[in-house]
Amino acid sequence: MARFIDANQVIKSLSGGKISGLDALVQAKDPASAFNNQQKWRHHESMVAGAAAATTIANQWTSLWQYQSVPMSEGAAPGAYATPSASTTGALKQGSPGSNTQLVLAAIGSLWDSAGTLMVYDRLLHMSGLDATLTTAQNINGGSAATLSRYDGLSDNFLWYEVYTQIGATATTITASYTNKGNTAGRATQPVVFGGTGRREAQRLIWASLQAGDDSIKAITSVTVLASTTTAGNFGVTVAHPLLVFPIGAPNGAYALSYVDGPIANVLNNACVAMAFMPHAAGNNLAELMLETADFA
Amino acid sequence: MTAQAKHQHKEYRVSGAASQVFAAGEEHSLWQYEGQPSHGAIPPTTYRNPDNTTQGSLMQSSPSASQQSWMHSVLACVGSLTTKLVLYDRLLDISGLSGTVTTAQNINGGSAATLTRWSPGYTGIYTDPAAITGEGNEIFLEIYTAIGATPTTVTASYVDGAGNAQTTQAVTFGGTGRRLADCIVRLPLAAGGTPGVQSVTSVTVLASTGTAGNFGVVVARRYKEFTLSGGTPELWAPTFSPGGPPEVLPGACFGWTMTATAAVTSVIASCLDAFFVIADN
Repeated sequence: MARFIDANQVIKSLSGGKISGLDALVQAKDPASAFNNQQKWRHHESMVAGAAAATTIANQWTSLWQYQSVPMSEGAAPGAYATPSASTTGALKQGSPGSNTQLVLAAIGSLWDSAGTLMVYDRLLHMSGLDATLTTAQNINGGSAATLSRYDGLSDNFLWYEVYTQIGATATTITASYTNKGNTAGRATQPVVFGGTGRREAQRLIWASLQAGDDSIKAITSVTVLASTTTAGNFGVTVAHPLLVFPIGAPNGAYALSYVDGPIANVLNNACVAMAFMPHAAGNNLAELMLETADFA
Repeated sequence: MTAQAKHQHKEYRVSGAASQVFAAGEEHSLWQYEGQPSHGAIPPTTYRNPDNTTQGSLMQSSPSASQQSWMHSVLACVGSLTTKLVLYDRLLDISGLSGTVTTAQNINGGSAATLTRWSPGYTGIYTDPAAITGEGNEIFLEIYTAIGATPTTVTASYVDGAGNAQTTQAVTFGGTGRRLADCIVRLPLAAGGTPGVQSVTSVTVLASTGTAGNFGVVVARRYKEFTLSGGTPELWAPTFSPGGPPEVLPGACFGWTMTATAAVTSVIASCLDAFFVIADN
């Protein structure tokens, strides 16, 4: 059997059969067509709650959820557990496709101040209000599993510990109790460093490492900080699913993704689209995103 | 026709603690590095052929029986380090070998330890002739518990891409840069032999390294070497490049090695984020 015969076959494969080929792709880019072509643009300033955002740290992931945003508003610390949607304040607020399939036709991501990696993701679950000085299990949903409304039971959902107000300078470790995609509860993440320089700042995202054998999260129940970081701060958990990633190779750089080099990402109905980034140097980063989607039956 | 977008994240942590510190130029395996999908374990002491369900793999889905998978793109991101990453399909592994035993240590009781992909043992659909010859396969040793500080040399007996018995060229084993856990030691194939590996039979350490430790053998098929200068992410998008996309055989078990040009301290940042797009037709 041969590799792909032509570009049409590539497009058809990457879109799960939804886009028949280049002609359909071109037609879908017409805003006047029946494909509900949308072009959403977003700019994030390095400001949080009216003040300068915490200076980013090289090689540490940073959440843009609270970064001042135009034209749609930035998000806030979520409080009680919720499953955000396209209408959640902080989301990209793209029009949802209903029963159709919304595919990303093209996207441009850019970062100012540093090279790095910019990720666009679907924010599936979040909560805040956890205390970085408590060493007992802290429940996400009152002791019950906090579940998802999208990608439920599917691969590649990951967990971040997200810091909203700076926690303590004493480094410790943190684990979470979760249910994997196979619906096995009581799974435990590997301990990862929590607190201390690089792991304490507001808007910091700390990746959880899953228990051996797992590749996704279906629900999360609690987190446990091993020892006090000495400052309660405010942190929470975020479960997310990756959509697009941009390699920004130089400071003040941009990268354009299309079917040629990336996925034809599927934005699920009511997705809460948001961004995060990992800079390669400390700075005061700005970020921009242009996302073009169309809906296919 | 379908496509999968898969993400792999790894941290500088092994067994719940900070990982080993590697000096510049020391190639090391990320197999046991924690993240998502979950980390790999030390292989069993009986040889196996890892696949896409093996802990530590990317855990991508295999194509249907009538379809093939192709690597459409891979984006590799590390921190700000200048790093070489090697993406490979892990075809065979085993642990339990000793850094103090100087007789031939068998991989399969004296018989050839065979492969199920990229070798005559593969029985599925393929386009690349190497799918059934083993051409392009490599052998490296992977250390799980540090071996000794006394450098010696090591070789392996294997069957090459033409089905001939061969012995790898001797390389340094043990001592500085060649002994730590997660360190790998590549075995150059026999000079004049047909490139490739169809099976491996034994490993022979010339002299004791001073510490038994625990090491093993990995047979791998290299997909791509990424050079991330100053940490700049590298996007590999072979579909529209000369040669086209490489096949991803059913059951492929993707792993990584890393070599930094500066000392890799146990930084608390992520060490790898990789985003794969695998398309079926």
